[in-house]
Amino acid sequence: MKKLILLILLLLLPANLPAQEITGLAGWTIYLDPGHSRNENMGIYNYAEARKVLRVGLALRQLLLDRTDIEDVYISRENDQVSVGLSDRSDEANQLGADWYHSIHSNAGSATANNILLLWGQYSNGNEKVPNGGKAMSDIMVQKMSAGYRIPSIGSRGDCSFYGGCNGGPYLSVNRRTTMPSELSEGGFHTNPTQNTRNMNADWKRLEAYTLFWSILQLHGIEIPRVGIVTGYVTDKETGAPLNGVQIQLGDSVVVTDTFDSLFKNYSTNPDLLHNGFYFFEDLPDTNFTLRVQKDGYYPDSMQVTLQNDFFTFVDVEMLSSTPPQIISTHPAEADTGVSILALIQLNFNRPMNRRTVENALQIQPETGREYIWQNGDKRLIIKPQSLQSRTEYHIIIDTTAHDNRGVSIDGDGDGIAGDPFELIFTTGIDEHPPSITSVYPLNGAQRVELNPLVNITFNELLNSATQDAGFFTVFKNTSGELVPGEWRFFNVDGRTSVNFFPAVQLEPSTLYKSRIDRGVSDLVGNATHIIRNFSFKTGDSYFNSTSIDDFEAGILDNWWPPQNSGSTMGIIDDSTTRSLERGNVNLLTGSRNAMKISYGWDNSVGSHLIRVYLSTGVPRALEFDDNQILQVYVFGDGSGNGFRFAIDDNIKGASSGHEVSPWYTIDWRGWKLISWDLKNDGVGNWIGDGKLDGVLRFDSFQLTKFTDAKDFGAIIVDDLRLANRLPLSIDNAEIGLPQSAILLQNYPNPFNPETTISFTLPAAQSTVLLIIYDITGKEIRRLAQGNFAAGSHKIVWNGKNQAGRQAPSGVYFYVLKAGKFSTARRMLLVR
Amino acid sequence: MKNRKMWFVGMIFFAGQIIFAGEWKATAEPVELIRHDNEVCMNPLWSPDGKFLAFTSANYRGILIWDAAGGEIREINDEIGAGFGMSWGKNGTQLLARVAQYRGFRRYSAVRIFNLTENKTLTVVPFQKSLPDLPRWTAQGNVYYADRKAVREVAVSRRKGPQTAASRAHTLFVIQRRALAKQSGVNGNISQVEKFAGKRIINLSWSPDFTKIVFEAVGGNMFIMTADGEDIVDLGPGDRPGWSPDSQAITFMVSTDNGHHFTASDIFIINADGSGRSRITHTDDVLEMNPAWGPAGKSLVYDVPGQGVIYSIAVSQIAE
Repeated sequence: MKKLILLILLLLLPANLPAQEITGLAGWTIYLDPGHSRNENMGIYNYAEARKVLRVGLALRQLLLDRTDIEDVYISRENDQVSVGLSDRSDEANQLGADWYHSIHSNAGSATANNILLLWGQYSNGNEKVPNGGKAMSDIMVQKMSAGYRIPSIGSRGDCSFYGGCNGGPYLSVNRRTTMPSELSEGGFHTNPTQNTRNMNADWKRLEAYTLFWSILQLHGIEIPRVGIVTGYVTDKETGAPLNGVQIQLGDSVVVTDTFDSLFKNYSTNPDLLHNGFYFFEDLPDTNFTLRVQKDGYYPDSMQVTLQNDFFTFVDVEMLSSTPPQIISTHPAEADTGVSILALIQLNFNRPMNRRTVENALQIQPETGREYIWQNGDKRLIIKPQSLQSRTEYHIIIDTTAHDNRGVSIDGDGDGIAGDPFELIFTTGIDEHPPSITSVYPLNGAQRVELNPLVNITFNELLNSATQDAGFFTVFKNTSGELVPGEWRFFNVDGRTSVNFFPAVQLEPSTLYKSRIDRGVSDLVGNATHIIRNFSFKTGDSYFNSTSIDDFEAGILDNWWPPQNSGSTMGIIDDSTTRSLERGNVNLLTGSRNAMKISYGWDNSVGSHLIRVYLSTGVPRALEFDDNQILQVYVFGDGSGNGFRFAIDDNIKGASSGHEVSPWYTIDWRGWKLISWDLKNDGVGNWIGDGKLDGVLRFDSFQLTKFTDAKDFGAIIVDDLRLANRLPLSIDNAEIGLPQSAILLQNYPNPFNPETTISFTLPAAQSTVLLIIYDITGKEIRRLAQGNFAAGSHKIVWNGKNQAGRQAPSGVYFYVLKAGKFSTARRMLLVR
Repeated sequence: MKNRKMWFVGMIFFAGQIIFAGEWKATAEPVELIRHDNEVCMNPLWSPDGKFLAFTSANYRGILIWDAAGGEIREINDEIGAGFGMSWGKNGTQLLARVAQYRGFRRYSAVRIFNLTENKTLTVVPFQKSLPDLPRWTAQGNVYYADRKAVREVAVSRRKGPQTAASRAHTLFVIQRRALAKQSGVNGNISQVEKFAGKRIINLSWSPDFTKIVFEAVGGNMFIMTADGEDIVDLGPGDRPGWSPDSQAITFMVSTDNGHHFTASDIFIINADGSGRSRITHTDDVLEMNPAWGPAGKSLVYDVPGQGVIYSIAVSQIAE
């Protein structure tokens, strides 16, 4: 009997004993380096790369110490508070004489990118770093990580060739400055919404740690011990969305997928935003299990699981919703009035519908012919009526014979019980009104208007093309009636016409002007205005003295990142979000030929939306300034109601620089408008900075965000990003048209060939005036002026030739005016 | 300076710089000193007599010597890790280094002294599995190092080779289990320096007059401490502190990085009493790193990783 009890005990023991120690790592040490520090490299949904990789590192260290005979496992940081620089990391590993160095990272890029990458040290000649070993480890890790993450890899790559050069090499600091074999792993993308929501889960970090752990064992030729891990995702079978709060039972063990209360509240205030559906069982003693899942609103399910011995056993579960099909939104909305007779009717279902049954069950009263368009995986029905009558009440009815793809009848009243009809009622209207002006710049009665205003008159609807004509619009000097010369442009944006005027000359200071719209401006159905509208404005006694940051004439590809390249960009539809060179619609005030277009599409399945178009390098990036400036850019608005703002780096000369932003500007305008951020007086917005503009500043990015009820898709154009000071004209000088400080005007024409005129104005006679042309590399090309100049305006023609009399090549040039203590520069484009 | 596009910005900052007595300044533009056969040249270190400049290549592999008299460069060693933490003996002819070799994926370390005048290499400690700290010179010209069990001092005789040193009466500082520790000169006991308990210490070095040490806390500041463990001076943030020949000042670098590579780095000097912290280089687009003093205390050498080149820059202290 005793023998039998002993035998039973022995059979039971393995499940309860700690895992047997793995031998083969005695005398070997590794330095683990979770990349970055604190909250650095913020990922989407406010979960930082630095926090994730620290926990991967700690989990890996614990696996090595608990399960093997390894001698030492060093780690570069053990908490979220310490900040450890690259120099300290490699110096400590070198000092310790660790056998190996592994740096743990995750990647950044577009919201859709997600893969595994291993980077080992490589010299310029293509050879692996000495001592060798990082490549061998990387070759193993890339496979295990890719298999564990179940995402593709882009390989185990030498860092020098991956980054396209390395000045001798290796490229990465952790590969270049360490004296032992090393590699750096990029585990997925923290800019990918799906991935970073998984990253938040504590067990996800253990999953990655296991892949690294097994890689280390394999490198040393150590057999991987039996793996008792079952893991996977639980998703909604119809939508594919990961499910929160699913109870999963495997044998006697139970886990629940993350919920808002258990985890996601740390990263979002929206309880419906985040979900990963991830579960993880480890140290399972047996081989065969029954896995059961259950969640309110879904049919429970179960399945048999047989464990794999040498890797994770993946079991993904799709759960079927038990709620009936409903219509969750419509356009027009219930009881809407004044609906356009040209409107399309949109019905959005909560699940894919059976097309045939819905179309058969649908009636329109009064009856009209229609076409059906199904979208979004048969969850959206667009009804295109042949003709709707004006001032008529319409009923859209779907009876209970409509059902979803599983045969469940429609829940028309949305009470959660199938089997009741749906009804939508709306009333059409009629257009009897002429177009009206919804916004104008300069405003009627405006004072201190700049001397070169961009006039913008926007109507509430599209104008008839016949009245999109400069003959209906004028800007003139009030006292004399003298017309201001310039160019009129008509833009049809989002169902409205924006009329823009670009004066060709600078207006006179302290002078009353009027923008006039004649009668007869009509809409598409012929309703015409009956009165003349005048908008008066008075120019100021100051002017903007500006310095260009980027006028985009040299293109954008080199200096401006695509939005997807920034880890801050989130909540976008990838295909719809771009930055591109714009040649057709530019700011005519400055003779511009190029601008930058930012197109966007917002992903409404996520709750946070930001586009960051980052100025990464080049001359514009090098321009430094302080907070005595006004940051300006001309923006062609799409009237979408979304948000636009500037971002700048501050304290760039200090120990730690930061990022600050302007307040948001709601894009409620259509056509061109000058957007100004007075750094001193307009306040600072809320992003990742401390809300103060410290030290030396530098431009960082344009940013867009989605505001409530704003449009999901659109585009803006930006042109002539610059710094400006509003400088006063002194009373005496103003009377004779002289400023208090020197002014350097934009050359004309620009771009030019073969010659251009550069104008500047001096407030007083100067004996040390220099006007010099530089090329894009900073090389002096031509000294146009040097010596005495009288007070007043001066014009100097540059014939496009260098000091030696040879023609300068096509390209961007800078012209710099120095007059006493005054110095400023502008850029111009020579096109041969 | 990257190019002339930045000239007006740079001039403003130079012009606006105010320097006080006791502070340090560069007195001339940097001069390119060493560029070598497309190799990365890094981590320069002048010999005390100014005759030789030692440097290393990528991954601190090997040691190369630049002869200041003839300008010739010769490689005296190509072993793994030799250029990390190397240090000159007082007479300027001996260079102490820890080197490594790999057997499979396991690292073995040895301690060597390279005699430049005799062109000989002396192995002080043969290859062994565990040497978790760098070897250092003592004031008496001996070498000491720590293994996992003890701090060991070796007298190095040209004739007899390395021998265990006789009993000593001086304190030795080492980094043990990543912390600052000292071995008492009285009883030989090793103990952690309590004032820095819990801090991980790197880049420890003795002043040339052996009265003080300087070191750096990982993720923290640099500190100077006298040999008796007192008179701690917090030097503030910085990396890779290096002593001036007269033991009165420290050069170091202040760097920023993006987790993958350095994004900015400049060279600084601070007096050993913590005063006169002075920025010597002021560039946004050049990474000046790994500084060390010139032999007369009138210049610094440093490397620029993006170029693989070693520069020298003349410096002087503003008179009190």
